[in-house]
Amino acid sequence: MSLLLEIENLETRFKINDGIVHAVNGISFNLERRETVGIVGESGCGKSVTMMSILGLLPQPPASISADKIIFDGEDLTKYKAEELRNIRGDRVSMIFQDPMTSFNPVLSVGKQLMEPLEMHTTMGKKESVELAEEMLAIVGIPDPKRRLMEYPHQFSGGMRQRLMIAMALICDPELLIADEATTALDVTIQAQIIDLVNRLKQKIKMSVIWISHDLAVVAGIADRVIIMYGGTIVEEAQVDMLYENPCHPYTIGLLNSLPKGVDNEKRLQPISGMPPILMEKPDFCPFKERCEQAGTCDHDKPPKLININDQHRVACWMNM
Amino acid sequence: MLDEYVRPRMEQQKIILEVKNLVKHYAVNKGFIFQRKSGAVHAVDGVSFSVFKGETLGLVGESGCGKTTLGRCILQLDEPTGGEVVYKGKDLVKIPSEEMRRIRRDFQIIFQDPYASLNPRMKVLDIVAEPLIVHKLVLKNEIEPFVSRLLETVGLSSSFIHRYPHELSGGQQQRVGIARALSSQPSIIICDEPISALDVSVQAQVVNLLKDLQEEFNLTYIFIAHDLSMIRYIADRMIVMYLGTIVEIGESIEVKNHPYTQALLSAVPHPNPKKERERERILLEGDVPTPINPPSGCRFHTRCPKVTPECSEKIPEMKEIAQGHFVSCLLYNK
Repeated sequence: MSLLLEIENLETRFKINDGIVHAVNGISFNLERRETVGIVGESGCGKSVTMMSILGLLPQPPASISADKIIFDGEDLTKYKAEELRNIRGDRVSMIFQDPMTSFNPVLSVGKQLMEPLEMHTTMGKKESVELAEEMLAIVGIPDPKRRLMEYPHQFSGGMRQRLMIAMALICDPELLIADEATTALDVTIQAQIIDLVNRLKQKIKMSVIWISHDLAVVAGIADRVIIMYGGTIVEEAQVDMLYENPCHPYTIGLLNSLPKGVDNEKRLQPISGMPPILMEKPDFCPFKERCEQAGTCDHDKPPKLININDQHRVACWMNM
Repeated sequence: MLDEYVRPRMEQQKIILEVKNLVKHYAVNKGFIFQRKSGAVHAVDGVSFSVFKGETLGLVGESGCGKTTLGRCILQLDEPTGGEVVYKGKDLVKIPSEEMRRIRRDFQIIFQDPYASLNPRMKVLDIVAEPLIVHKLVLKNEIEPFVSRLLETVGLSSSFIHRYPHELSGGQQQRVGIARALSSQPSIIICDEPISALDVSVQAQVVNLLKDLQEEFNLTYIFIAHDLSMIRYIADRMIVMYLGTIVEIGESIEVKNHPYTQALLSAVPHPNPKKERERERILLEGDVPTPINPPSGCRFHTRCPKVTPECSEKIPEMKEIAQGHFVSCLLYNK
């Protein structure tokens, strides 16, 4: 397998009135072709900002982005101009968002919105575009595509709208699909449908997927590899089975423990005490220090580095060094 | 029929609230100036159950199944179209609103979106103290110490008293919401998806807090959620709703017999990739049908994996399959 995406030392900061928020602090990871990576973390851990930085979706200023390398399919995106990035977005890289209602324009028919990427990125004629759009609707499981194309977003339910988002994201055959909390706003039954759909489509289209979520259970069903983020850094990264069988970072262990297991309601849930850090300063120690139960023998003066436990498992924690 | 629901545990437990054949329809109007009634959204359609003192009763179902409407109808925030809500021997639907206002002290609600449910222009002190002032429960000069104590009970430092909601994190805001609910010393709290907007690690904190408070103050919870894994953990008994009707009711661990419950259970993702791959999944086709025109017969028959030709004609009855465990499905009607 070859690398599709290579990121080295990405940093993103936001300038706000009170100072600077260090949202992403030097993260590096790779994505192979046809691989699905899950990125998991709490709100504010920098998972969405990472993706938006890569795609150039953040206005600069207030954001400032720096990276040693952002290589997509052999090309360095850090050297790209805004227009060149626009040519990649929606064509070779697509993104689906959390809220399927606000991601659509309510006054345009879904057909028009669905065909917009084709207008932007291909020379396809009107008739062909319509045919392809109908085909995409059928693929994502929306019945009666001819009629549905003329309808407007409010005429679709939440689950259907998320299917439309997926159809729109996939219409140009992207090499990479980024799903940002794509099922969080949906019912569990609809979530199961969407995950099943994405799992089938990624076999069919042969694309890579980055699946961002705060729910470890959802990621277990879709990812080959999982990255756990905390305070703008990667704290653990592992092949999916290894992560769930042998979680090494106290934060990962804490996340797994705070999920209810089975129906044993005598046992208390074990939450992680405290709250995620406010990243007004670049942390010069382990970002999880304040909530960590095992913190003690750690070297508090510098943040731990990601080290390999084996070739498919990396963790950033002083306890594992 | 209602007696059957109640009898099994009546000997051991006291009923605190009874809902009898509750119906809530919302009129759908056509036309802009000359509005005429063209139909009704059957949000809740003939729901009966009892709530026991000190228990946590879970209420689950997909969006649009009427679980929130049911909660609002119990509180009389929405006026039910029909049926009774009996509390302390009184039918809350019929009593005058003046009396209802006094009784409402016993009922509180915690909402899903903690930020949207707190007034952004009020300080934490004023938010938590409002029920105290409305119901005249505490003397004026005792309000501040009372609120401080409440905040400490829900795990917030009393220094939060002069902060505004936007200065707090989601988990802290939800704790303020809980403190406000506790301030009038209610006996029943309706929790309307109180944790679904929170991060996983904070969810567990709030759930543990709710459990502790229940023990300390002998509270009864009606816990509305769509996440079955969490609700099976929290609730003693559980009601599964579909399109405004109850399809299954029973002890949380036992509730797994109706095809819809089974589908809901199988949709819950498992935090173990190996089990996740091996697990058998029942994928429900499509969405919930519109409650304006609910399907004939069993309302679930359009999506049911175990559907028989009979299902579209006969309306299934509530059948007791074990003590205190009722299922509304033709499979169990024989």
